[in-house]
Amino acid sequence: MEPMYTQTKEDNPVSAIRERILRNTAKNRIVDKIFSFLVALFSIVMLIPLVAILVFIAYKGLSHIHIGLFIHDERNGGILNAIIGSLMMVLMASVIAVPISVLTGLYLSENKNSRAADVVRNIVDVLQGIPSIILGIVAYLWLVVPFKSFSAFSGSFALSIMMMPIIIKNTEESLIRVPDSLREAGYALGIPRYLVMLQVVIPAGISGITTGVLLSVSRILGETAPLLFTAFGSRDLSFNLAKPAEALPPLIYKYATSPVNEWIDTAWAASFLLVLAVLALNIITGILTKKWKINY
Amino acid sequence: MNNYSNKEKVKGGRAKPGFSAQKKEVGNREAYQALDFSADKKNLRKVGNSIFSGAVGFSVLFISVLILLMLFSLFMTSFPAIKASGFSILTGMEWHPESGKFGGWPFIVGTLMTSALALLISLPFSLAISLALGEYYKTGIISTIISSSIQLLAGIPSIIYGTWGLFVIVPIVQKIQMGMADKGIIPFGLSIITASVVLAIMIIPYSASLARDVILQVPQDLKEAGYSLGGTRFAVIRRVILPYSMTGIFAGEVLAFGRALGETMAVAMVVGNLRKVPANIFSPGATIASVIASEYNEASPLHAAALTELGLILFLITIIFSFAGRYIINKRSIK
Amino acid sequence: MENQLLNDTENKTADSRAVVKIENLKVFYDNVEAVKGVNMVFEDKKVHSIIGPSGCGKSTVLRSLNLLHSLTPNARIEGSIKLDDENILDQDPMTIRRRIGMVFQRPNPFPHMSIADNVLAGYKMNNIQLSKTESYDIVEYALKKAALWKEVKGKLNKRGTFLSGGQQQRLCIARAIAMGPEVLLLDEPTSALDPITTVNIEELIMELRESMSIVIVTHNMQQAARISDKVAFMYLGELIEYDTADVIFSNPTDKRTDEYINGVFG
Repeated sequence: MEPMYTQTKEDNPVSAIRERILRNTAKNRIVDKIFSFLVALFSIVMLIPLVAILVFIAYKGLSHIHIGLFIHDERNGGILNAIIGSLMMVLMASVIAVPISVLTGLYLSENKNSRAADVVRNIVDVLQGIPSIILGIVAYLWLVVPFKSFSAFSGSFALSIMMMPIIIKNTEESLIRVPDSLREAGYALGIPRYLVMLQVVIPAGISGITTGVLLSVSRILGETAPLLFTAFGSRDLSFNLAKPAEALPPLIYKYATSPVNEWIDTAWAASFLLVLAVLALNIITGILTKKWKINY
Repeated sequence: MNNYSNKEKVKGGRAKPGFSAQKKEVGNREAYQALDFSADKKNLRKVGNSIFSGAVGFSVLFISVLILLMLFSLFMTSFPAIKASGFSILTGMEWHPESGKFGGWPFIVGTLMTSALALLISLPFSLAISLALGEYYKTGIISTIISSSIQLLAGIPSIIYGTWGLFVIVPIVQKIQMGMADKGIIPFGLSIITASVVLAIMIIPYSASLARDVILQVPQDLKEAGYSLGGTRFAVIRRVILPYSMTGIFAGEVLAFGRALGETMAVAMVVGNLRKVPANIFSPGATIASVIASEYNEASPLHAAALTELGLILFLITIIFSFAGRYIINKRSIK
Repeated sequence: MENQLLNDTENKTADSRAVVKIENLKVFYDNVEAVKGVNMVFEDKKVHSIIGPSGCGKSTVLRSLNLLHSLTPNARIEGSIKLDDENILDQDPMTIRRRIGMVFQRPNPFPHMSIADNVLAGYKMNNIQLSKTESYDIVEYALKKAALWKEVKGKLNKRGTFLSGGQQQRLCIARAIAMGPEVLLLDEPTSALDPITTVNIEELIMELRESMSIVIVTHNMQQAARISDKVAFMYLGELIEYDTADVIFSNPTDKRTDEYINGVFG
């Protein structure tokens, strides 16, 4: 190259190494290319287990699924008792968790900056981090030991604690976005505060609350550990919350780790159902979140 | 009686928790009375408000004391074990409930080993994904594919990972182990490394999305400054983006580690549940969570107490990690 | 050289050398034409200001000189920008950016680097090996040129973010000139600074003018008047008028320039 750049005639340390500064950047470019290739590669490799899991479960599950599974309990070669048990426990867990969580979320959103709310927020974070097996032990100690019986209810209780942080956070996030003007309009009409909260604020944030509930349901639907020593499991169809009950995840655990081939087949069918239910819930939640994005 | 305080937006600065809404209500109430409502309705308002406040107060209180109650009950339940063997549960090498030996060291090692290995395995993947989503493909079809896959992976239940691991990863590991038979490794397939691989896949969505959030926060003008000096994208990532987001990514890894520690089912299904300190990553082992899951139901009172004590230890460790992770994040965001 | 638009100005400054020639530059964002066929020449040892109301495309022109438009996925560029008679749009941006430095609106020293490392950031970024003495000499040289040496020479290993806003901006200028650019671009460099600091930066720009070509985008008309040799007025993506500062501020040809300068709009 012609020394066109030597225009800076002054003798300075930068112009002294000008050649080096402008030297061929090929090496840097190759390193850059290699790195972006690696980023793409590792990101795509990550898709392999996802596809593998989904395909594997779908293939194995579909080939072992049959109508008998849905109409018989375990004693008769079905999994109806686990399906019913799962639904029953999730429903009960929601009944416990939703009111407490929504009200706590409301409290947090109405007291954005207070110190007490900060403490509660931290507690909610810790609650979210508790390993689910610990919740199983706690529910066992609180609800199984005193009543001297495993029960679907104790399982629901453990699951409900898992739901709470998710619902609380979603509620808080959505209620914080409810504008104060709505509240003030309520008060101006002379509506008592509890009704403003129940009939104005909470309905305004209902989309976020629903998202939270759905998310938490999809989360606990697949939980096994909290149920091992609470709901315990049962081979019979039961609607009694005070009695032991089976759910899909512990059933999969029991059957997948068994040496009996037919049971393993049933585990695949149940796994397929469970994945289908959880993913469907996730997708519905995603769609609702997008659809309900209201801007005030 | 009214521990639930409403607060209205106060212009400028922090609002005190107080009863401003109620004060306002007093004003409204006069107007309300002027309309000549019956005393019944006034009472209803009072009762309604206090029931509502009570319900909110109860909920908040419930959430607040829950963890303390849990810790208390775990401690009380594990007390017989603490009394019987002191704190040897932390150091004891031997876990033999049948002869009353409750050394938890094998499980502590197993827990730390599986989680640390999982973190190590997941790191390149979660970094790559976070860079892909936070820098290379912020929008567009590739971003959508990667981020929805991540969401799907995050949604798959632990038991499914366990089942898949048992029937897919275990045979693979078994083949690898067979090649190492001369080193005295028995090809069980169930091992620390098997559990770590499954755990790694499970925590990638979590740590990748945390890291992506941090990387997205790197100010655009800093990146531009990097490019304006002649840097390639790699140079900007290495010299600007990664140093800037290092603490945040680290905090994310801490949180992911905390999560891996407590993961139960998937690990319990593939780790082998051997009550011994694993000799190497290809030997079977057990974690705190997996030993609780596999032994709690059939435990004698003292055995159950020891398992509860292990649970308490796990609980405390995960609390520490979740606080540490969040502390680092908060400290960083203040800066 | 035959460009008729430029003849006029070139005659007046016959002794100066044109470093950058922008010819018929068009920049599109998603088919929206942000810059509509601009022609400009920047000369060595001169300060050129680009003024105009927000959204007139002045920053876009500046950023395309540093090839930063390539970072925006939906940006498209047409025309040519010649640096020493070679079209930079056809060349490796990494090399060009070392020859055309850029200073941004908000002082943006790298927060995780020391002052010295900030000055040497371009070298680190590009893996240019330096000996210890070379590094030190470059740091000293660049900081002296940026009029920051006296204030920071005792704390070269401290973080750059603890400096005041004006010092940070001078550190960013030092970072850019440490690469020895032939052209220095400044995108509203004083808009985030107080008036006294602004004066300091302006004085600094006048000194830097001795050794390079400077292009500055500014909102501040007084600033343009104080420091510029030549001023370009842009409006709605077009270059309305480009002339010496005297002409633009005392006797503009175009009515819009006159109105903008006298605050009728903008």
